[in-house]
Amino acid sequence: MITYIVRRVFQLVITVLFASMIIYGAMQFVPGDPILAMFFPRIPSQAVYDNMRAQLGLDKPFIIRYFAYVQNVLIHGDLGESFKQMRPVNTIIAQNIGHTAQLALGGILIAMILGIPIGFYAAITRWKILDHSIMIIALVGVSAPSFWLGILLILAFSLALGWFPTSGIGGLNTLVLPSSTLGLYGAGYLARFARSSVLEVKYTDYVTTARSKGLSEWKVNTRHIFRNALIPVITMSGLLAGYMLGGAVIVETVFGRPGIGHVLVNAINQKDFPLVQGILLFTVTIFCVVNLIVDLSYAYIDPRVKY
Amino acid sequence: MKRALRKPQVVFGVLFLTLLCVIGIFASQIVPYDPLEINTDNYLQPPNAKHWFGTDNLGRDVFSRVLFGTRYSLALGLLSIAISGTMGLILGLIAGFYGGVVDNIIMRIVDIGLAFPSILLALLVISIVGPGLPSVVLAIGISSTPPFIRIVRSSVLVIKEMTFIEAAKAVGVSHWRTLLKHILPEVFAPALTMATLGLAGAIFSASSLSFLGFGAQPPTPEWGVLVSAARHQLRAAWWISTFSGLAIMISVLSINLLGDGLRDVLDPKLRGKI
Repeated sequence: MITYIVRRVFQLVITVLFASMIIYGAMQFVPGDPILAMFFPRIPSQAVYDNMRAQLGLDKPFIIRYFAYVQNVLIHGDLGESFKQMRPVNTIIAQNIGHTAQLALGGILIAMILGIPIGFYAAITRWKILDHSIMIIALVGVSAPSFWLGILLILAFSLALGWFPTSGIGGLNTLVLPSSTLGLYGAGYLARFARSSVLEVKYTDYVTTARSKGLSEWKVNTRHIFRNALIPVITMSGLLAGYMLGGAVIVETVFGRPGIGHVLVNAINQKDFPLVQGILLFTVTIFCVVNLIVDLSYAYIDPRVKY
Repeated sequence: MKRALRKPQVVFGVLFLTLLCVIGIFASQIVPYDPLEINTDNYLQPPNAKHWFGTDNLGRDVFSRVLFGTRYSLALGLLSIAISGTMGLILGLIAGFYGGVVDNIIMRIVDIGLAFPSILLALLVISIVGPGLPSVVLAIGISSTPPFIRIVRSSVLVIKEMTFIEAAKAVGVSHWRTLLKHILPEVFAPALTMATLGLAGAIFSASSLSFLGFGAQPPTPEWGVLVSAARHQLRAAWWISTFSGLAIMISVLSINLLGDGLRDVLDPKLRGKI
């Protein structure tokens, strides 16, 4: 187990390092001059321009700049400074990550609370029609683009009914619609996954044994089918957390919520490379770490799994 | 294939996809109004007999704009899937068949690709090449390639161990011939399923990128752009965003149905994997 964890962590570090190289390298190909972009709409004098170039280290070759960047990130945890906002990327991320984390957490919760029971129920119900209808609704959830779903929720619950605000941050009521937008996609996804997971377990020999020794249908379902079917579903829920990070980009734009997704979209529009690469690197690292934790937790959830 | 056509969801999916193609190709002949024609006398009309989906703030007919949008979404989706499908097939075949160092290199690149949530990978590409329709195709093509390589590779690994491949090797068939004549046809089923589900995903992502302002630009009647532009008139006009988004949802839904059906018939073991 320990060797497995060490190997996986090592793999993670390598993957993130390569990802950082790709992110950093990609930013070098961005057309347009970052210094001109920084001063836009003013045009700096040649002296100011050269001075700025040297100050930002843009006059050094790519490899040297890359290693300086990685060194800074690894040793000081410093992701550099935003060109446009003139503030450290770390500060910007720190100010916004809380909002995104709330949003994603809310989304995962809604997805799990709604998706898993629905999927389980669809798999064990004897009414084929009910099963099919549930699955079509779940497919609708997966197929509706989140920017549109968000707008429908605003139309219904903010503008028509006036229950929740259309945008902004604050109490729990500002979180309901954005998290539901993310969560409904996740719920559809989990419901489909949970259903097929139960179907795989439903016809195994030990379920037949449990039934033939006279257990009630309820006990067979809860103790023998659901508990086993739950394992892959929990894994999938963890992996959905990664989707939530990506989905936040869109949901935060729809609801005008601050958060790292919103910051990223603005940074791309403003050609603010240090901020774009900082956020991408941060998100990729979180995504990989979450995936690793989910993988490792497998052994805890399912005692049969040994690494 | 015959077995696939017996499934109602496959039939529905095929019919709907055909309908989309017809609308896309003949959009200029079908639309009742010019999708770009501004008619300020008629602005923000709710749905009525003349304008089924109402009109927008410049008096443009929303129904015509949504119909026209089919062309963009379908083209974007098909082109992106052409990129990811081709790269996925080639790299997946090579990785699975040759194994060893080549496989290792390709799969490590795939790992790095999978380390990004796909929309972020697409945004990374967009931030290099700038916004626009070709960028969207490239961004989605690249970001959906890694899972494609994975599926193709894992199918090749299974097929490679089968007796008929061993037999081909024994009679001295060349590597290339084995790959193209014996392995490629066997990989076709999972690749087709993957491409169908990928098409749904690509239409979904393309409209998302346009919504964020990185894809098609106004006044292009692309679905994501339509929803995005209508966002600022939600109070005045619910119909613009509702119908444009509905078009995306129904298209993605029916292509997903087709993909699900194909997967169940062609390769049930892939359930839950793609």
